[in-house]
Amino acid sequence: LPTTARSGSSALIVGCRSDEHVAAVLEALADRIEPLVVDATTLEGCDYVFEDLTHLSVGVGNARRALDLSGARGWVRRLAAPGWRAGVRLGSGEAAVRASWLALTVALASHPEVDWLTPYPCLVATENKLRQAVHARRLGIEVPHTAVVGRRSDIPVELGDWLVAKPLGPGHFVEDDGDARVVWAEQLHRDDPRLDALSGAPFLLQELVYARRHLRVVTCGRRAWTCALEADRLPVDWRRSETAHHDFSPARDAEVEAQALALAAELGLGYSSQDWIDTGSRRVFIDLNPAGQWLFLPDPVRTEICEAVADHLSGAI
Amino acid sequence: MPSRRLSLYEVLAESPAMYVLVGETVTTRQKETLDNDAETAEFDPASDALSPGSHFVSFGRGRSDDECAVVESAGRAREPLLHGAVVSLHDSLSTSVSWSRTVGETALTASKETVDADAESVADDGAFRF
Repeated sequence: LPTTARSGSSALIVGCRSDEHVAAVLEALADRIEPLVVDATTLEGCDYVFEDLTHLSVGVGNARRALDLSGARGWVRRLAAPGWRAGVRLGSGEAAVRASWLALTVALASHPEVDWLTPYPCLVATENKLRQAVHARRLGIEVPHTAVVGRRSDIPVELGDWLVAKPLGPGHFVEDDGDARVVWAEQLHRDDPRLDALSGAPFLLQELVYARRHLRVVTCGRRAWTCALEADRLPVDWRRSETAHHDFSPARDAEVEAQALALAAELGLGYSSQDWIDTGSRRVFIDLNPAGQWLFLPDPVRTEICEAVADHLSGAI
Repeated sequence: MPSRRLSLYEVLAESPAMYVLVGETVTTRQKETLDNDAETAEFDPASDALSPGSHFVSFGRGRSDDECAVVESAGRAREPLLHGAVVSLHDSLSTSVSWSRTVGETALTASKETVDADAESVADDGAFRF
């Protein structure tokens, strides 16, 4: 490639410019650096070279941008655009093609010489809610009494009469007819006949913890932010209420933030978006998303988180 | 190959468009009593039948953790609720929602809201906030 056509970068974002979180971080970086932004979707539609296991250039024709992964900084937002593999039949030729694009993207997203905000292997491993709970308890953080059973009759009495069932796998899927389906955390009585379906797939069962407030705690590097949502009038899973997303308010909580940071460090997460419950007297860790969204949180929290991610990418922290 | 057993995925899955709505509230009803002896309020099925769709059942002042709500509708099992819930109804005939509270001294307030099922959905862009 002609040297004059190349412009260098020092940071890599694995994601898409049309993703609102990527766009927000790019805006925060506007006066600092211009990262390379790639995911499986964008790679599929442009020219690219990944050579000598460390040099990446991406663009169209000779107008490419280059990045030496060795010593670069990085942030993994997502590997591909939502729905990129929707409708692709498992085991088909198209599935193999998509898997190839993902393999290339994963190789970039897990490159060991990049200083990642969260290394991709840690991000993937931490999607597992059971693993999250195990590590939280190891740190002395309170978690709800938890069980995974294959029969309703095996539900431990310690979970109480009312319990919460939540998927261990993805919380959403697409039906054969293309209809999107979502599976919320659901409050069920232990005698509810729907629990007979526990034999079909492992689900997480937890004691019902009464919430006075739901807490969304975001950690980035050594910083943490807490926002609170009054639980009154909300379903167990506040996410099923659209208005709830706009009702969080900043609520500093040094104790829960210290625990959240300790848990993030334990799991190797440079960024985490955590759900906690404030019972009024206790703080209980529910689960976390290692790539969870934050833009629905109020300012100044949302702006400060954008700046914190940008600080990592620009080397300011 | 043996057929796959039913899982909670099939049992609990919902259409996100039904609940993840940005729509307007088209119906809001509220009843309130200051009489602590009147611990049960009930919609009259004849005049207050709920229309098919999603209904958010909520509690107002004085709600505490040990209150228990009961939602009833024709052909459905009674569902005790400890928190507000979204209830999906497919049959507006002879459907009623009632609730009771067992503690507290402040006014009993309950409401039912119907959201417009045709309202704009944010689910289509895949932006589930997980």
